[in-house]
Amino acid sequence: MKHPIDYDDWLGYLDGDLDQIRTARVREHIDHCSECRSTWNELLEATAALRSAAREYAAVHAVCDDEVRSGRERVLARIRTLESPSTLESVAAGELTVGRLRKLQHVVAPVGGARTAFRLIVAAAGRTPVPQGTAAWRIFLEQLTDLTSALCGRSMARLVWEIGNSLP
Amino acid sequence: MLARWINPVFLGIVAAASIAANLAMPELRLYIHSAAYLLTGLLCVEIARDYDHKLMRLSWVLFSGEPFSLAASFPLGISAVVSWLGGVTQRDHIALEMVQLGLTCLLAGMILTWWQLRQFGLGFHARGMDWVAVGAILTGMAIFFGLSWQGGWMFPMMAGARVLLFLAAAVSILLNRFCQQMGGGEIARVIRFIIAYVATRCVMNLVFAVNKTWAPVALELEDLLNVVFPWIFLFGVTLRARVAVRAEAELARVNGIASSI
Repeated sequence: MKHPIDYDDWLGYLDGDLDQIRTARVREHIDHCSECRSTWNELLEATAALRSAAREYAAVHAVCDDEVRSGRERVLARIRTLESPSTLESVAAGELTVGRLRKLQHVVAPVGGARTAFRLIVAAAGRTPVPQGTAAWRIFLEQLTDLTSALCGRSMARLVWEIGNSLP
Repeated sequence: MLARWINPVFLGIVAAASIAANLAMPELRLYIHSAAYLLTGLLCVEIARDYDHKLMRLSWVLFSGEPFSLAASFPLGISAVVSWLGGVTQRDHIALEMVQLGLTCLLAGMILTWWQLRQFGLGFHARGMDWVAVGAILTGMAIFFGLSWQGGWMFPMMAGARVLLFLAAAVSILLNRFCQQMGGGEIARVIRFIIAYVATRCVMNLVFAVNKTWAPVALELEDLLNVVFPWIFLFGVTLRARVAVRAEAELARVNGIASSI
């Protein structure tokens, strides 16, 4: 199953930094997804343990909030590493078929680089809430176009958008 | 679009011819460099206009500051007027200030690019070895300033520009790692051209320091690097500008196919 919560969402949700819409989205997903609920509980436990350790040893070792934060980020980085997909097949779902994703990867790769193109697709797929929905491809394309625009410029983004829309 | 009219192969021929002309007739150098920098600056602005992302656009606006500053410091720009108003010393002073301004823009543009690439969340990250290399470059900077101190030829304005240049070289190490992590592509190639530009200027300064401090052992090398480095930047910027041109052409082709179906 694909999860619409990315690394930044986890971090923001933990810190309470997310806006209302994203907070609601993350909360709703955690309520419905047992896997993410379990990750969330682990994260809370890890954070609580780090905070408690920080309080306990603060007097002796002068552990500060930055160190707690960095410890938590290491935990999150580990989660991210475990969950990051390595092939387009593992990203594909519903309307996001391997063929379509591969075609877009071939459009972006000559400009952004092969690995970057793959990561852009993974990131855009991660931001597509329900890949099985009827509007999923459009949402995915919007996300990919935004990311491509930021990295490669408006012209490339328009090309990705047009080719994406013309794919069968 | 200016980039539409610039063919990289033709640019290569022009660059080779002008490098040969520069070496044969040094009095032409300032004019040719000035024109090359002006073109580079205009292309940077064109690239900036291709970005909707504010900080990426800003980074290219900053990149344009480097060629524009250098073009202005050459005779086609302000220095002829300043020379007439305040004499050669005043002209040199203004020219050095322009060089410093350009390097500040270049460094800021590189740092912004590095920062933005990190922020995109695409997994770009520096490794331990990169920080070791950054340390080595800063050591190189210390050696350079040691040589200049020994030679007694460095004055404060020159020192400021050199510090900026070596800092840009340090940022280049981090950017180069990101280029590797991109897995090829035009964007990585463009960044590498900017890195090569900074590296060439650093080497040129080190050779200059050796020539000034001890004996003029590598004057030809210094001369060659001096005529080559503006073209490196221009090539990189041209490649990036051509990305937009090619994308537009491809877009027209795709739309043409779509409308014919």
